[in-house]
Formats: sequence, C-alpha cells, structure tokens
Amino acid sequence: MRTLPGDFLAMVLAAGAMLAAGAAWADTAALYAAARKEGEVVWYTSQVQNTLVRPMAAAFQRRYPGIKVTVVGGKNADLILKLLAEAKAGVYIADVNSPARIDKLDEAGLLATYAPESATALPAGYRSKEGKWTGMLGSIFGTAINTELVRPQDEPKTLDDYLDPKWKGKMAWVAHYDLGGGPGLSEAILDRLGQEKGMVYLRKLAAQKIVQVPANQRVIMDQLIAGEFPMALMMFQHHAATSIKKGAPVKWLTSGPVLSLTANVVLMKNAPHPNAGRLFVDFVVSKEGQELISKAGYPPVRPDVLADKTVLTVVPQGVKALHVMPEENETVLAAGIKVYRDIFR
Amino acid sequence: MAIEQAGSLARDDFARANRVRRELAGWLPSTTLIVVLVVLVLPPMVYLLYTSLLVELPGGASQLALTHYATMARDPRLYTGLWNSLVFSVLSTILAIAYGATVAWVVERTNAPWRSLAYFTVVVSLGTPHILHVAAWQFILSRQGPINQLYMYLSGTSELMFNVYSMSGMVFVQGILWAPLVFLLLSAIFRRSNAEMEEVARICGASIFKTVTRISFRLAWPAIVGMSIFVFIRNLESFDVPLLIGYPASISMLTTDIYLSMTRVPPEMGHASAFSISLVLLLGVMFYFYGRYTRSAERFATVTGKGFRPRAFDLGRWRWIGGATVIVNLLLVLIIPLVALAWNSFMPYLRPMRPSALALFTLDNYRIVLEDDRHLSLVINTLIVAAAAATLTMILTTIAGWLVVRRWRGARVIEQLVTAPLVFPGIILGVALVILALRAPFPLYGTLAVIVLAFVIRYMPYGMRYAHGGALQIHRELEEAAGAAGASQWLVLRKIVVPLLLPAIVSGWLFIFLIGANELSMSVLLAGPRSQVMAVAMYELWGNGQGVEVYALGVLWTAFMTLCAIVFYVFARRTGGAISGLD
Repeated sequence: MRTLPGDFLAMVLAAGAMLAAGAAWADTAALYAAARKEGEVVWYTSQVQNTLVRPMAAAFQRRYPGIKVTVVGGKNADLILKLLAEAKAGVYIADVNSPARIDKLDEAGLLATYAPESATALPAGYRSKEGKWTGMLGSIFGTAINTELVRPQDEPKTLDDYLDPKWKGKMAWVAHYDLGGGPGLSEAILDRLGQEKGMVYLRKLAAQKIVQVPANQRVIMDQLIAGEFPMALMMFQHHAATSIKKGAPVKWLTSGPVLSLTANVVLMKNAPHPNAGRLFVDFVVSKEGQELISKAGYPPVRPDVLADKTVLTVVPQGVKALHVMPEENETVLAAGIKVYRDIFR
Repeated sequence: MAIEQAGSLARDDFARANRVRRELAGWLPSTTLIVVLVVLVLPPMVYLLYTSLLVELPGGASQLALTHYATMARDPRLYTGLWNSLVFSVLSTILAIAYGATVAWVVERTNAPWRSLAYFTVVVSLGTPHILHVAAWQFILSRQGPINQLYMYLSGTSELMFNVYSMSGMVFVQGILWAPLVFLLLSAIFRRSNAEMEEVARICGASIFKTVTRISFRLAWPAIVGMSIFVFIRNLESFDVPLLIGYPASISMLTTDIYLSMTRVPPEMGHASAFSISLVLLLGVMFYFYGRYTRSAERFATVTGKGFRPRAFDLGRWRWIGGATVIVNLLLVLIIPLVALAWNSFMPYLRPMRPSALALFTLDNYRIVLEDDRHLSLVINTLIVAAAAATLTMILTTIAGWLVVRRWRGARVIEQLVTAPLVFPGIILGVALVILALRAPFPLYGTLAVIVLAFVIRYMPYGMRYAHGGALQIHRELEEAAGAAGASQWLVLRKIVVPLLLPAIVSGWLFIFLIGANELSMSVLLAGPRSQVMAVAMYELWGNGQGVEVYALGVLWTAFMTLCAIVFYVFARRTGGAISGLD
C-alpha cells in the first residue's frame, strides 16, 4: 500500500522532470538554431559504418534538417594519429569523435567540456564527472564456444576448468595490444584473483598454449564458428548474439575472464561546428539515438532503452567482471601489456 | 701573332664551353630526377628517422634517444625472430621466383597450349584484394578447409593432413602470393629475349633442359637476381602472412613485436621506425653488392641492333608439361582462392565446404553490398587514384631505370632513392604524408592528390623493378647508333628506349594500378571526408564485424577490376603494338 508522502514525492519529482524537460526543450531549440547556421557536423568514428554510423547520421539529418553529417571513418589507431597530427598543425576538422581515447586527447588539451541534457538519464558509470565524455554504447567481453564441438557437459563452469589439459592448444584470443585481448584478460584475472594468485593463474593459463590470432574479435568469432577452434576468450557478447540470431553454432559464457568497457562520444575543443557538435552528442544519447544503437545489435547505455533480447547491456548478476572507465584505459592497458609481454609472449 | 693568339684563345674558350655544355647535359637529367626523388623520398625518410629516435617520457614530454634501437637489440626474441624470418624469406623467395619464372618462361618462350590463360590468371589474381587472398588460403588449408576435411573423411581420423599454421604453410602462402608479380616481371623480360641463342644451342644438340638452364635462364639472370633481392626484402619486412599464419603457431618473427606495437591505440611507432631504419641500412649494403654484380650486365643484353625477333621454343613431345604448368598456375593462383571467396560470400557466416552447408546458401551479402549507394563514388575515386599513381610512377621509374642502367652520373644515388621506400611501413609513410600535407602551403590535406602521392612513393620500387629489368636487356648499340645519327638523348629516350621498354612499362603500370586499387593501410589513413576510396569500404566491412559481406564485396570488386584490366590490356595491345611495331 502506498503512503501519502510517497505519492507526494512522486508528484514533486514528476513536476520537476516536466520543468527540466521544458527547459531542455527550449535549450535544444536554441541549440538547433545555432547549429543550423553552421550547417554541418564532422564525425570521426571507427564504429561500424553500415549498421551503426550511417543509420545514426541519417536519423540525425531527419531529426535536424539543414545539418549535414560528414563522416570520417578508419581504425581507432588511425583516427587518433590523425586528430593529434591535425591539432599539432593547428588544423581543426573534427567536431565529434567516437569512441575517443580520452586520456590521449585530454593530454593534448583537445576535449571540450559538455554534459548533454539527455545524459542525465545515464547511470554514473556511463558519463564523465567533468563532462569530458558521454557514454554511447557498452560492450562485454567473455568466453565463446562452438556448440558443435563442445558438449554442454564439457563447457567450462569455473576459472579452473580453463586449466584442464583437454583445452591445451584449443583456446584462441586476439593477439593485439588492446583490452579486448591478452592485456585486458590479464588485468581482469588480476582484479578477480588478486595480484599473487592472479599471476599464478595466468602462468598456468599460458601453459595451455593459447592460440594468439592477430586479427580482431569478429574474425576470430568467424573462425570459431567455422570450427577452427572450439573456444575463444575475450569475445564480444554482442558479436555472439548477432551470429546466434543467424543460426551460428556459438554460445557465450561468463565462467572465464569477463571485462566490460564503455564506448564514448566526445565533443572536440576548437570544433569548427561547436553547436552542431553539441546537438549531435545530445542526439546520440537521446532515446531516439539509443534505440538506433539497440537496433544495430549493440548494448545501449540508457536504462530506459531496451537492448535486443539477445544482447546483454550489463554484466549478469553474480559475475565478477572488471569494468574499465574511459579515463582508466591507458593505465589498465599499459599494466596489462606488461603482464602480457612477460607471460604470454 | 696577336690575332693567332686570340684565335687560339677563342678556340680554347669554345672547346671549354663545349665541354661544359656536354658536362651539363650529362648532369642535367640525373640532377632533375634526383631533385624530384629527394622531394618525394626524403621527407618520409627524415620523419622515419625522427620517430625512430623520439622517446616519449611520462607526462607527455619527449626526447631524442636511441632507446628504440636498444630495446630492439636487447630483446632475446630478436635473434630467434631473425633466424625464423631469414628462413621464411629465403624459402618463400625461392618458391616465388622458381614458380613465377617457370610459368613466365613457358608462357613467353614456348609453344605450350593455353598460354594466354596465364595473363588472365595473373590479372584477376592481382585484382583481388591481397588480404582476401591470405584469408582464402588460410581457409582452404585450415582444419575446416576442403583438403583437411576430405582427408579426415577418407582416413576416418581427426588428424590433419597439412597444418597451415607452420613454417611450410607460411612459405607456401607467401610464395603463391608473390608469384604473380614475378611472373609479370619476368614475362616482360622473356618476351624481349633473343631466340637465336636458344636455337643455336638446340641445333648444336643441347637438350631442352640444358638449353633452358644454360641459355634461357642464364640470359634472364640479372633480372632474376635483381628481383630475388627485391622479393627477399619484401618478404623480410612483410607483416601479414608471418603474423596471420605464423603467430598462431607461435613462430616468432622479426616483425611480430613491431606489428603488435602498432595495434596499440595510439600506435607505438618508434619501434617500427627503428626497425625500418635498420632495414634501410641493410638495403644499402645489399645494393652495394648488387651494383657490383650488375656492372657487367651488358653481357646479358639481348635486344641488339641485329635482326631481333623472339620466336617460340618448340617443346616437342613435352608440350603437355607446358600446358599442365599453365593449368596448375590457374588453379593455385586463381581458381582455388576464388572458389573459397565465392563460397564464403554465399554463406551467412563462415562454414566448412560441406554439402550440408548448402542449405544456408544466401544472397544477402550481395544484396547488402549492392544496396549501398556510396559505392559508385568510391569506385570512381579509386580508379582515378590508381590510374594517376600508376602513370606517374611509371614515368618516373622509366627515366630512372634507364639512367641507372646507362650509368649516368648519380646513378647509384637514383637507385637508392627509388628503392628506399620499399622498407617504409605503410602506416609510417601514411602518417608522414598526413603531417606534410597539413603543413603544405596549398590545400593538400584530405584530397585524392595526397593518396596519389603516397602511392607513387610506395610503388616506385615496384615500377623500378619493371623498368630497370627491361632496360638491362637493351644493348647500348641501338642508342649509340641513334646518337651517331644526331639524335638528342631525349629523342633517344622517346624513340628508342620507351618503345623497346613498352612491354615492361605496360606490365608495371597494370601491376601498380591493380595493387594501388586494393591498398588498405595508407588509404584509410589519408582519406578525408571527400576523398574516400574503395579500400576504406573494404576495411570497414573487414574490420567491423561483417566478416562475410567483405567476401561478397571482394568478389564483385575482383570482377570489376578484371574488366578494367581487360579493357586496358586490349587498349595497350592495340596502341602499344602500333608504337613498337611488334606483337
């Protein structure tokens, strides 16, 4: 049974929300007018073009006519090299960047401070305290198995199951120096088991002769599905979900190392179209933008937007995972690379 | 007396002026070319040296030091890596050269059946993106590939017949990948070789084998050695096959750590630069010996002033072996990889080649690729970039090749400059050009011109191999005859050298056009908002979770590139034939 004060509180909250929404609407209208004068927003992104980037750009242009979205794509490594080189030469082309390497851009003084109105709906882990970045989509890494090659009773249930000799030479992962490979796995294990026990575990895992594939997670997922190896570590949950929907023999598990990341979107300092940039960041985290992300098969960051039912937005309850915030990226990665170089190479 | 003196003084002046003019004429072409090459090659080289010395300190500061070189030399893995890399490079060079040269000789110099198929094979194969070739072979030879599946089915075991993740797997795939280049280069050489000596050898009673080894290959020897060095260096610094196939097998290579350091965001470029600089130095040493070796190259000139008409070599009852070589080449270089690509392009996700997988057959990947309306502008941009780069590169390298072979002043410098970009890693060259274009006094950044520039620098060594190999074969006497008849050097180049070199120039152009259209690492870095090329779309599909759609795009793109190449070939044959009066 509800009490009167509870109802009263709800009414106050609702009124407050309406007021805030009204203010936000007025802000947005003013922002749109200013952005329209700029006429363009330049988006540097390494995200998937045909499922995510182009639908997002098209939806933005429909929502805000008169502002053209110009996309510059490429690998994350390429884009950061470009952004840093452009800034050094005093050439500013990009308005927004996603996902951005916060630490490096911040170091070069390239991040604008902007906390969009719509980001207030995001949980604390998905937005920056200082407004330097805004969460765009999440991603969770875990174990993937080929169900044609691994019987249910053979699935690894605990971390120790991964040390079973039957998996020797049968597990694969990304060989790259990034959090979605050995360095991230090492840090997730050290976080879960502690420094001492963790190192012991990692050395035993290295003795399992993991197949290190120098390609991205999707390529490894494809090879796993084709039956090249029965198990792969540090695989995207949403990649597994997309393939399962197409009928591929794959299953995603949380019994091994699990790590989660937040992909972000940032407004660049010295952006040539600052208002259009703000409006764009706003749109990406709006309900409409997040629904697009969900439709593209990614985990949205807004709690009020449902992910596709096969896609996980948060690490399941009871699973110990390492969550890396964008600011921590460099520290965690550098530590992970050190461990990885010592133990697995 | 005074008049006589004045007269002799005037004569002296006149003679001196003449000498100076001759001296200048001797220097002018080389100097001009050297200036152009320095402008092209030096900035990336300086940048390479700079990044190799730049050490980042904690807190964003940096200093110049030898840290990257020290790290490289201290790593105990360097020496096992060095050994593995040498074994890999030597073996795959031998395979590529032996295989490519055999096919080229059969096609150009014999009367084996189905010879024209070989050109088709090579052109289509080069039109296929390199990365898809590696992926296709990896798929074919893997556990799930048709060969191992068939073996396991027939033998009833789960043992593999052939494990692609091994040194032999790496050597095989790399050898096959480079054979088309070797074929194109050597076919241009064999086409120009003089049949007289082969005929004389046969008349004198030499066996076919003896004639081939003692005459045909001996005459092409300088070109073969030059190309072996070239392919060897390319193998030594290659990343893709050693990494994609060697690394999963835990075969540590020279490039392993460098590749991995480039996968960081942002990439650690110092390491890769230090490695490249070391290779540039090594290259200098190799060139010294190569230069000494080719000093007497004129002994091998076969295109002389005497009646020159290459005639096919009659294989007699061994004709079928020649035909079989052509067919095996067709299968290895083209049909098998293409079938693997096509198979995957019709699957919703990667599947082994089994009848049971046919139920999954889908055209979805093609539908998705064809529905994308950006592709038309990407195709146009790509054709412009690849054609412009191929043309500029061949102009520069034809002149360079001729000056080097004729030992004009500065020839050694020219050769070094043209070949140095061979060891520039694509990403370093890309970043160097990003920085240069940003600082250019005119708008260059983000244009197609930057990509063309990058390709010219990157592919100069390739163009040079064609032009240099071709020029080695032309005997000086033709040019001397023209000179005696009063032709200027420019006229000699235009009327004698270029027409005789045309087959090599055409092959080189086609090669650069095809690989330029498929280049990935630099295009992605240099493409601006309004200068996107096909490779960018290819990369997007490859890297971002549309694993199978890239096969559909790859099949369509290969078909399109083949069409382009055929149009070019027909055109070149028609006009080329008219210019040189041959074919």
